[in-house]
Amino acid sequence: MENENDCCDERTFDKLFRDLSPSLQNFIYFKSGNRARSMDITQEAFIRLWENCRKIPPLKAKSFLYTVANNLFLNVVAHQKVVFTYQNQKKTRIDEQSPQYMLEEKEFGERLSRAIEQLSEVQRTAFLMSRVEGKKYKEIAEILGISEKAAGKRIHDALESLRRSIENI
Amino acid sequence: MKKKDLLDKWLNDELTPEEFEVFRTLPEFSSYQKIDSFVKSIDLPRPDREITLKELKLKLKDANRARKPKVRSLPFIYKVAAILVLAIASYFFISNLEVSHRTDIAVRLQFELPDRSQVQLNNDSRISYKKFKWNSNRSLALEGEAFFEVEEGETFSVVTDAGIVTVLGTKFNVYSRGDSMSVSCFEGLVRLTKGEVSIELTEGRTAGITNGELELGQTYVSRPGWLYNESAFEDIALRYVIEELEKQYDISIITENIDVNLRFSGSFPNDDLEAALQAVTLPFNLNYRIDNKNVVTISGAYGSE
Repeated sequence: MENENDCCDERTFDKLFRDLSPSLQNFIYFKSGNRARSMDITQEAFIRLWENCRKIPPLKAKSFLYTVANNLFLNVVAHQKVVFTYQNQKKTRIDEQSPQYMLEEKEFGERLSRAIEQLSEVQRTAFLMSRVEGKKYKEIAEILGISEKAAGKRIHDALESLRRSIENI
Repeated sequence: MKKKDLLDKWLNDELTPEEFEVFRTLPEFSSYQKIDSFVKSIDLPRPDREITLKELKLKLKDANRARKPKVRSLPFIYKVAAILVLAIASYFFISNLEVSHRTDIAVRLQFELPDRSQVQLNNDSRISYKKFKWNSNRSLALEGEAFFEVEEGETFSVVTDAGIVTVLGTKFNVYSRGDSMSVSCFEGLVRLTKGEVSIELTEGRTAGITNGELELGQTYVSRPGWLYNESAFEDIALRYVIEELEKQYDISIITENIDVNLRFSGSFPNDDLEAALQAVTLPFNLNYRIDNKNVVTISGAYGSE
C-alpha cells in the first residue's frame, strides 16, 4: 500500500519517530526508572534504525526499536536502582485534609512506590504499560513478544502484589 | 463471570456498565482503584518530540552515521579502477619520496646509502636522494661538501648546481658551494660533467669549477683533510678558504686590505682556531685579530704593497 518506502525515507523516519518515540521512552523508563537513560536509549534505538533502514520495512520498525531498546537497557541500566517520580496531583486538596489523613496518604504513597520499584522488571513493565499508558493486552503482548495470556498474567500478578503491599498494613 | 475475567476486562477498558457494577462490589476494588490512580501519577518523561527529533538528526549528522546506509556497492569495474588509481598514486608517491640528510655549521655526519656506500657529510651541507629503486638509479643531490666511498654497481651520480660527478665504484670528495665546486678522486675513476664538457679524473687528481672555469689539480693525500678534522685546499682562492674557516668555527671573518683571490694550498685544523688562523695567514704574511668569540679580523701586513 503506502509502505513502499523503506525507513530511509526521511518523512517515513520522522513519522516513526513522532509516533513511536514517546511510548518507547516510557517502555525503558518503566523498566529502569531512569529518565535520562530512557531518553538516551530511545535516541540510540532510532539511530540504529536509521543505520539499518534499508533492511527494515516500516511495519517492522516498531518491533525492531523495542528489541534494540531492550538490548540497550540490558547492557546499560539493568541492575541499577529503579526510582520513579510522581506528580503531586493531590496538592490542591491537601489543605482540606486532616494531618492524620495526610500522614496516611504519605505512608500509602511511600509503601506503594517501594512496591512498584520492587516488582520484577517484566511484571512492572507490562503493568505500567497497561495502567499508565492504557495499552491493551494485545499491544503489550506484541511489544514484549509474548502471548496475550502471558501479558495478562504479568499484569495480574503485578496488581495483586501491589494490592497485598498496601492491604497488609 | 469469573473475577479474573472481570479484572481482564477492567484492565483492557472493556467492561460494560453492568459488568462494572459487578466489578465494583469486589472486596479488592477499592485497592485496585487506589493503585490505579496512584500509578497514573507517575511522572513520565515527556520530552518535546520535535526538539528531540532535531537532536536526533544532529546526532545522525555528527556521527556521520546518516550517510552510512546510503553506501551502495560500486560496479566491479569501478572497484578495479579505484584500486588501480590508488596503486598508481602510491607508486608515484613512494617513488618520489626523498630522503635527506643535513648538517649545520660546525657539525659533521656519517651515513650509509641503501647500497651500503658510505657518505661523510661536512658541515653546513645537504644531501637528498630517492630511496626507491636506489640500486638501479644511484643519484643524489649535494649542496656543500661530502666524501663518498661508493660500492660497485650502477653509475653513481652526484648532482650539484655547478656540475655532475659520475663514478662506478670509488672514493672521492665533492665540494660544492654556490657556483663553485671541486672534486678530488682518491680511488678509481671519477667523471665530472659541466654542461657539454666532461672530464675524467684518475686517482690523485682533482678538478674544480670556479666562475664556470674548469681547473685541474693534484692531491697527495688518501683522504680529504676534513675527515681528519682538517680542511685541506689545493690552489683555491683565499676567499673560499676564509668561507670554510667561518663555517668550521661558526665565526664571522672581516677582511681588511687583502686580495681574497690569492691562491692557497694547504690545510688548517678544525679544532684549534688559533692554529687554523696561523695556517691560513702565515703563508701570505697576513695579520689576524680575534675580536671576540664570534668575530675575527684578517688584515694585510702593515705597509705591504
